[in-house]
Amino acid sequence: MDRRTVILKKLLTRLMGFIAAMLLLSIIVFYIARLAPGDPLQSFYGDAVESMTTQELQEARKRLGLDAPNHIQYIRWITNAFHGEFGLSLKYKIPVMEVVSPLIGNTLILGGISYLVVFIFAILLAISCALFEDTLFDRIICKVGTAAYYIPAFWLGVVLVLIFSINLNWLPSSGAYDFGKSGDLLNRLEHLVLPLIVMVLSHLWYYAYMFRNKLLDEFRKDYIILAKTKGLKKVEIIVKHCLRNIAPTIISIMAISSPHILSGTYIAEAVFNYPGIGALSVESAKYHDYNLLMLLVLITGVLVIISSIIAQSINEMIDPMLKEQEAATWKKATKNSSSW
Amino acid sequence: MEESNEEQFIMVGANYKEHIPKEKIPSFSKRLKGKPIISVIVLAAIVLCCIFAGDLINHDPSSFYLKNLNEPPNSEFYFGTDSLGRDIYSMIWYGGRASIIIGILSMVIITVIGVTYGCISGTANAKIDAAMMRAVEILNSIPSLLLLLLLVSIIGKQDILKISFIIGVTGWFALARIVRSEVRQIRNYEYVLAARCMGANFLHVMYRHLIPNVVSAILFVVISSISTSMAMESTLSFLGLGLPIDVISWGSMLSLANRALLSNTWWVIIIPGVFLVITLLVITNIGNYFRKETNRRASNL
Amino acid sequence: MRIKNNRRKLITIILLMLCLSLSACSGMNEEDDSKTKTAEESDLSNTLIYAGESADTINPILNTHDELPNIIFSGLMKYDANGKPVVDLSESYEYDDEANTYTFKLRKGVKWHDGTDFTADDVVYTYEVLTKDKTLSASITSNYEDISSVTAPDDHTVVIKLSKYNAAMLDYFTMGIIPKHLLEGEDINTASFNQYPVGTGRYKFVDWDTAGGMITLERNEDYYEKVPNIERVIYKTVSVESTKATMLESGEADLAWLNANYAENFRDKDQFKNIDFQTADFRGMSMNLQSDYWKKNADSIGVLNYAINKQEIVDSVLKGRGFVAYSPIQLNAYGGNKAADIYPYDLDKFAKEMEALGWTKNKDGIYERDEEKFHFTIQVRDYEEERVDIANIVSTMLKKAGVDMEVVLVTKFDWEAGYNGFLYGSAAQFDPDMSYVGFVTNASGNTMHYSNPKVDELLKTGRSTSDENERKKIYGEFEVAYAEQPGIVLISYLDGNYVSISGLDGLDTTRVLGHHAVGVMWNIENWTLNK
Repeated sequence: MDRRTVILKKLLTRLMGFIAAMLLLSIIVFYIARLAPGDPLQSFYGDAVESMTTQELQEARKRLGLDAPNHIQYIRWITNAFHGEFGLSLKYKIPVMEVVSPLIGNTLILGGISYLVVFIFAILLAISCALFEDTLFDRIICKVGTAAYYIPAFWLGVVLVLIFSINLNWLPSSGAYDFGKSGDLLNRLEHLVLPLIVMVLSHLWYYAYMFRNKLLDEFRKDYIILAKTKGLKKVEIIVKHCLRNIAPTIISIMAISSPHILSGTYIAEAVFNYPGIGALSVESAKYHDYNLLMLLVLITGVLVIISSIIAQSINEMIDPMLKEQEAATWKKATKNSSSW
Repeated sequence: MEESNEEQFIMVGANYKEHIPKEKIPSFSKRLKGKPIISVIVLAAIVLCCIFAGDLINHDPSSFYLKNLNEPPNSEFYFGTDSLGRDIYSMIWYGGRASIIIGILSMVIITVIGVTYGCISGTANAKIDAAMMRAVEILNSIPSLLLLLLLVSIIGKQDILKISFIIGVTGWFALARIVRSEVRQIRNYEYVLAARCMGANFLHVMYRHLIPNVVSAILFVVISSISTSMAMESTLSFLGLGLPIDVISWGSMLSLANRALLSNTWWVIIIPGVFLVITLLVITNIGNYFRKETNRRASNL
Repeated sequence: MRIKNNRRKLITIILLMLCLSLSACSGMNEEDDSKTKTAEESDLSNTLIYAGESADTINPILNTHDELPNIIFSGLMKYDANGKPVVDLSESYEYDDEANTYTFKLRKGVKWHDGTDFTADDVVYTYEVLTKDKTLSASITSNYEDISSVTAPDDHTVVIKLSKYNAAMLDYFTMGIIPKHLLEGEDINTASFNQYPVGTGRYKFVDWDTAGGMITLERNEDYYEKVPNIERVIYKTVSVESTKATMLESGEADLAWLNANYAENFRDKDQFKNIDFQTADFRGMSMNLQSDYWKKNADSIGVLNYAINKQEIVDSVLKGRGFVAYSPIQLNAYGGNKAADIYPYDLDKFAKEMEALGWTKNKDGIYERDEEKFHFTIQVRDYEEERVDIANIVSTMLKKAGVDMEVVLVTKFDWEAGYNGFLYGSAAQFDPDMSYVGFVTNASGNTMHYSNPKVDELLKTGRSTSDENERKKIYGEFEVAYAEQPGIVLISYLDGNYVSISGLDGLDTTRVLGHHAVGVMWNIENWTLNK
């Protein structure tokens, strides 16, 4: 069989699997939402519920589609969902898609840039630590990195605001951009600096340490001796050989790391009042706005799936023989990780 | 005695040196080398202080000293007071109790679920194993905070038990995977095969052979799950999804930090944070000690 | 060769992805650009940036405690500096005593912000919604229950017939008028109008940029009275109170309402101004009298007042910016009857009264009666810091006195969950009849099911009495009657602490503000900004 068809087929099966997963997830969230305390009608109409007559209540229920049994409601929801209709937000009282769509961009920008910065820095940091293994430099970086990883992200954010916004007045403390500057990259960047620092510091070491250990394993392989005898410089060996060898591992880790980084946006957005779907998820859970929450869960799922499919496909292109390796790297990768 | 021996026997051989096997009594400091001794001491101190919080405190941690608002650290309020006159020093010790209990409880839940799930998956046949791992993968692909949000929103009013439960049931995925792969490796070893041949049933094998062998591999993950759980509790508190307000924890204290931002009461922001971070760090450090060393050989580079 | 080939592929893919994401970003930006191009060209020196609470809808009927509906919409009447109703959209009005009928002559030539003519039909439509739409989640419909018919004989005349005299009706005619041509036939709760409001007021709505967390308003150049000096108002939606303060501090906002604690930090800073309004806004624990606990123990609500040192709460939580409350209409022109101040802070008195009511302390020092502990729950919204603080402190004070009040933080008040009460806030800054909806049996704002025949009667007579002195007497009696059998344990009144940059002038503190210090923009047309 042609390699391309194999890859295509693999991609397809993977996609099917994920679609099944999303369906399952939507069922779970739907039932959770219906089981949770609080009458959705009350969320929608507020105190007026108490002064409505039974008939009016029934009509209202019907209008909001709350009159049918749960499984019918779910089927209705899912068919509507395929048409792009996800119901009304109970808090904002407009279609949830309208609430969410303007905010996705903000979160993608924050999440995407953090993702890139985290991994670029993680690789650089890993290389420099591995180069100076067990020297003072390495040990200090290891300690500082672990400390940064364990500092609660929100607290770090508050301290940064205290220093950079309030005392030094260098950077804005909130928002995604100033009025009329939504297209101004510089202005957006200015607003991104503090959230980015929080995102990067709270994720960086987790990955840098994994890559560092991976590199150290690599340094102990025999081909290094050969390369050295050929007269290659240390840096050359690392970049030309070691890095290439651990590239599949790095990419596998990148593939599964998007939920981890997305988790971070929830906090960064909340601390810096940065309008995005992370902060919106927290809000909708607190307000029991389940239609909104359902959509947010689905969007998050889709984001995760897309990023992992991309990464896995890249991986397969570099190395079609990956299948066995994948299992091994997976194991190694998770061995170093504590729970997320 | 020795002298007479020397007279009676003649030693032969070049550079002969008598070998006296010395009983090795390494010095105390040597024995401690490499062990995270400072971390253990710091952790023990913090834990003891929290346990005996009742004897340490000089103010009621849940009282509002309305005459002493925003006082910087002084001889009466060692760590100062916040904008409502609560004594940070007394709150730290009481708050530490809640935080540490949550950390440990969550760790227990994570370990129980993770180890059981991993063992079952690891010992089951290929199909079940694949299905179980797939399920973990799916769960792991949801951002953990989103899962927590969902659970918090249905569970309603919270207490220490519930919050540990929530953190626990969303935190075991990585552990389950590690346990499973360790079990997969071990189960093909001869002694396990032998036990099975002798007719030992599944539970027996798991109890006698698998679990003891897996322990060393997972100890690091288990211990550091205490710190991640404690950090998670503080994050939930910050998002307003944590413990009820009458339960003091380091998380709930930290979540008040942004209220103190403008009033320049740095002690309200910094002190609880420092305590939390130090505790998390020493726990991780202790966990690191149990981490399997993989890079024993010398580097070729 | 093989490896080279693969690497090239990899690089291509990565480049492709980068291009895609960049183009996606820039595409989005272009779209935004076109939307805000006009704004970008002009400078921001005459733009007021207001840090406000997060908003979901902008509609005078749905959002009665918000600032924006007040400046986007206008009503038949408006309040003057002293809180008295004067004509606004109407030129003049007549009241026919015999027929209980108001006849409004409307201003001519008024246009909606979208250019359509404003007519009497819009008024009729608005009042029909208020009186007939049962799905309305507004807590104000009881204010309009006396209206029996609204008709428009011609385009500039509206006749509103009442079933009986209502002294506060002119106040309620300040309700913003909503456009019939945009809303007719739609569900008022879910209409997209609520996010794209069109009014007749001083400022017109331009854009709601959720991605930037801001709502943009521009002054209405065609406004029928004084056109505001400040060209543009940007309302930034902020969900965390402390963020509003940091935004002021870091120059991201020009004006914000802060709680007393945050406002205090700006008092000695040159580049800021503190503007302290008086508000009629009080805080107290409102008990759900339909819950099982209070059904049995409603006789023991008032006595709790003795055990709470309210002055200490004012001094600490409110930094002295407020005062002790004893009546829900204390700051009203008709209220403030000292005879209603019957509960001094007195723990001995509390103990005696409790004993008289049949309570005895158990071994934990908590009162018990009929084998039931004096324990009740109070829900508080977690994002309202001063309410959380008040609840916390009251809880410790009561515990010392032997009463167990449990504070539960919620994000949205949940009436179904069986809590015994909530930390309540309300204001009657205009006519004392504003307390009608909250205290009369089964009125639309009476969520806690307070019912007291004497209070009902007094508030009903107060509403239908026209003589001022008589009304003052009636509301004085109401205050006493309520104090004797309260449903709310009143704690304190709070000031409206606004903080602005020093370049903002014209805020007028004559007006007593309402709930959540709303109404600060009542004279926004006179404000000037000098950044």
